[in-house]
Amino acid sequence: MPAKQTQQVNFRYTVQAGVGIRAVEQVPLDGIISSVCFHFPPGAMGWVQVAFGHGSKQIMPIAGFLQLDDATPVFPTAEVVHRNEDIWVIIRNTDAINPHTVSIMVNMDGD
Amino acid sequence: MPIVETYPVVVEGIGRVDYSNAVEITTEPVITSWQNVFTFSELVAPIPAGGSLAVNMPIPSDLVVIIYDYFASIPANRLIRLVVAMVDPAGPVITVLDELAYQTVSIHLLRGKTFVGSIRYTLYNYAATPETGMRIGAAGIYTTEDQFTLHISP
Repeated sequence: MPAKQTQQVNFRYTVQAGVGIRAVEQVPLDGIISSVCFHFPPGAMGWVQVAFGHGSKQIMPIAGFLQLDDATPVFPTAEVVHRNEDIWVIIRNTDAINPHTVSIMVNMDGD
Repeated sequence: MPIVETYPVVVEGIGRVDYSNAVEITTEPVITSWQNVFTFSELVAPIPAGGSLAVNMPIPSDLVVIIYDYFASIPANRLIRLVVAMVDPAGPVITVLDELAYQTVSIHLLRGKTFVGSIRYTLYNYAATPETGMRIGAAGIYTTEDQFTLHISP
């Protein structure tokens, strides 16, 4: 049975130097997270740490943080989620001077 | 609306400013080229009955002109002739084009003709009366001699 709808949640934040952010959105459907795309801007130089998860479970990466520079990887997944469940990102800018703008796009399929 | 909490983190190093952030509306592409558009247009008059008139267009010494399109026209259906020649001060006069037509001479070349020194357009009027409405034109590109040597000439 094919999924009835696809939804996308976009987390995009400019994080100041020496600041961490935890942002939470709610899942708009019952289904799966089909992919997660992380965008690290040029200049982040590995000083920006990003993690993504839902509920109490961190799924990307499974532990620790992603720390990249000028990269936009997309990770396919089939993580089951439920409507109104929390999805969250943690972005930690450990750069001492520069703010960085990071995006995390979460694609979900379901009913 | 997302719930967003912020908290301090321990800094670990210094990255680089993200120049791509929010500059989308302020950047415009600047097109630069070693070629420039060359156009030429002039009213050549009067051409005496059964005679000719020459127009010289000098080219600065450090430039090369390459012309693809040539044009000469009069407002009447009479025979005219357009001769285009390159006049190199250090060399001979080289005839590049010689074309006869009624009312309009229009030539479009796929591979342009190269000019240095100066360009001489010679117009012939075969009618029994002077021609006062002859208009000529040319279009192509010009470039510096250095760039011409570097990019175009074999």
